Amino acid sequence: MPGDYKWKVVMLGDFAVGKTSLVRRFVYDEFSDSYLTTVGVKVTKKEISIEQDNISLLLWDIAGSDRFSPVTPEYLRGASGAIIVADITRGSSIDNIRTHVDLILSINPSAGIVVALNKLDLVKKSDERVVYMKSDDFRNSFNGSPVIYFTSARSGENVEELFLSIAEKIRKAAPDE
Amino acid sequence: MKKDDIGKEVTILKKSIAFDNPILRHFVKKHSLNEKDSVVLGVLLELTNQTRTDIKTHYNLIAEATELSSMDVYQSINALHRYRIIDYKPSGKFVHISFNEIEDTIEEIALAYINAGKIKHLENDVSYMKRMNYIPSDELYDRISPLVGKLIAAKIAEAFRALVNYVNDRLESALSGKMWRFRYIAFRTKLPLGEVILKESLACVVDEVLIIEKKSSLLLGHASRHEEAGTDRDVVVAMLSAIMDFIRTSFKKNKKGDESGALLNGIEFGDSRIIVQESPYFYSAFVVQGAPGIDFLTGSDSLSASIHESFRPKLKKFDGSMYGLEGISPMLEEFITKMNMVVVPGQGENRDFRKLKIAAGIAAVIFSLWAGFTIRGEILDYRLEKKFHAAASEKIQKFSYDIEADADGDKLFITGLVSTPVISEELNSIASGFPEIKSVDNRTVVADFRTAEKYHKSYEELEQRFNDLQILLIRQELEKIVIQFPSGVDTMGNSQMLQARRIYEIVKEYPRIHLDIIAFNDPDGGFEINKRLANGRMSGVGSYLESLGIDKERIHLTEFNPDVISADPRYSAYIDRRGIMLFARMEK
Repeated sequence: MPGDYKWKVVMLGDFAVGKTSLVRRFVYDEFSDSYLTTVGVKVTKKEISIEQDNISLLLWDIAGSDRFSPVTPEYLRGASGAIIVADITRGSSIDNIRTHVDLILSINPSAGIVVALNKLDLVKKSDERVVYMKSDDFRNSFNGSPVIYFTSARSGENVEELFLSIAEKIRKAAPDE
Repeated sequence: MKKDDIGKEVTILKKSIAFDNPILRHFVKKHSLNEKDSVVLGVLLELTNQTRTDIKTHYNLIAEATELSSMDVYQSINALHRYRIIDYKPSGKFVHISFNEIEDTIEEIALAYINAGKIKHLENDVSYMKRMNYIPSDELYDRISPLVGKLIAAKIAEAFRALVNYVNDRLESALSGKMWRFRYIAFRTKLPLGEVILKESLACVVDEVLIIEKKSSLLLGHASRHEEAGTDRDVVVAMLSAIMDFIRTSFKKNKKGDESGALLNGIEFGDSRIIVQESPYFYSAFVVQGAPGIDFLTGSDSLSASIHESFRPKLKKFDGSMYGLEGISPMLEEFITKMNMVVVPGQGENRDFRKLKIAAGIAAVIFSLWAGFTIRGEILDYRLEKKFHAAASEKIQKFSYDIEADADGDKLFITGLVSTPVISEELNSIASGFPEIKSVDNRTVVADFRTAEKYHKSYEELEQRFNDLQILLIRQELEKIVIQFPSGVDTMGNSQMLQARRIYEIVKEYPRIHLDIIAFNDPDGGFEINKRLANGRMSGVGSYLESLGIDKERIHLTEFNPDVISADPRYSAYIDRRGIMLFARMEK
């Protein structure tokens, strides 16, 4: 049944992995946002349509975390989905994907999760690290085996697909009215 | 009972009390569970995260936790199953236990449990207090002050702010049209003026209402007093929630496992403030101006309760779909309209001045009738007074009274002086003779009119003597003046006008003195010629005196008669002359 939906999607990941750039790239044509540095959250709204459903994605771009300033769990409450972003060139950010996945699942076990390995434009696609990260072994190493997208906020590669993917994932998980 | 048994019961009782859990209390009370079953249920609730998850465990493990025997645990689990509190299924050496679906009523208890958790941070202080037999008063103050002191201070500050606003408004409007408006509203609504001033001065305007889903911070409904703002309310609401979360997490006590925190219930900005109210599944954010009164508080509570009641099943399982929640926004719009309406009891939204117009019409008719009756009454009163005076002058001697009569309907008031009490009685008698007069209020004072009359006569005599003396003096002066004319001339020349002006200067201050003008001629020329000349000369002098300002009525020309003038002693000096002589006399 076609209808109106509003979903909260959180952007998680280490600092400087490109979360904000991905959001900016995605909502480039039409966007409204607001940012509070003190609070550490930037909320951006993007309206999309999938089939006959009108969907408002409220993208919570949470300030990048590190061991000194962990993500505030409160911000993850009620999230229908999460995009875990890592810098493909920075191994530590990739290692922390697991932490972010576990964090979101501990707060919202039913949340849809998609992983974005960003800054694809900085590596060769034939790089053996990229080849490995495209394997099922790498994907299955995370709780829930999330879909992994290789994105480039700079070139826009796979950005649209990334956000539509999370919307589709949430939509499929949502019970029919 | 054996000593060991008593000890066990005491232990169980202590554990039972230790499970300060609303859900547990609910089941214990509902099914009258004994201590053993209560303890086992308490342990199961803790192990299942308050019924949320299933567990796979062993009777022995529960027995260790509860210090009961495995058999006791087995029996208790069976009992709980019979009460349909739990389901259990043996699985090898283990048992799979799950709680049946929680009823709505129990869910409310769960909420209470969560709220109860919010005061967990006081546990240390409470246990400290329990350990001590008494609490030093200064220590008690120190412990309570941070909690209560700030609350009281905030409330007092709020009350003072409202009071200051009120006083300012009151002073500003004391001498203005605004105060008359308040008086008018008070008159119409029958409310005390003070209440109207307070209501108007501290008016609370609700600019926006936002309903925010609690977990996801998504906007469920929105209504605004103004046209849609440029900023996307979905984003604004998300940011507001982020701020609330930030404050909740930043300023709560950093205690492991404690997910509670103080709710941010208000943000002030400029003249406005955001008031946030918490409901089980959503926040209500009200953007208001002014000081919210009891109407707002009860109205907002009622709104939240209505939304909760109407949309609870949908909100409980909110998945982002707005289907089924369309009814929220109209409720918010209705709330804003209601709260921002100037409430006048007995009057709807559309103010109808029909009653006022009818009242004004009735007042106008009443006024016209009153004016008509008043004028008619005044005319009748005047006529009655006149008739009374006429009757009095006929029956009572003129100088025996000096009174005023004032009629007012069928009453007559008499004031003034009368010569004797008999005269006063006589006035009463005259007044009673008029059928229109029902009562007489005679306030005349008796005076000695005989003496007054005596003095009056003396005064008249003196006045007459004075007049005679005046005439004598003027006549003497006038007789010194003779206006002579040349032979055959009857027109006024300079010499004649100079003499006439002297006459004017003598008589101008005595308006009661009249002048008789007499002409004289020398015998030559014959009677007819002399008569014509005499008349012309008298007319010339009279006209000139009149032009100087002597009233015409005071100037009298005398018929020409040579015999009359010949008798005047002055004539002997002017026997061969021709001219005018004047005589003075008092008016009759």
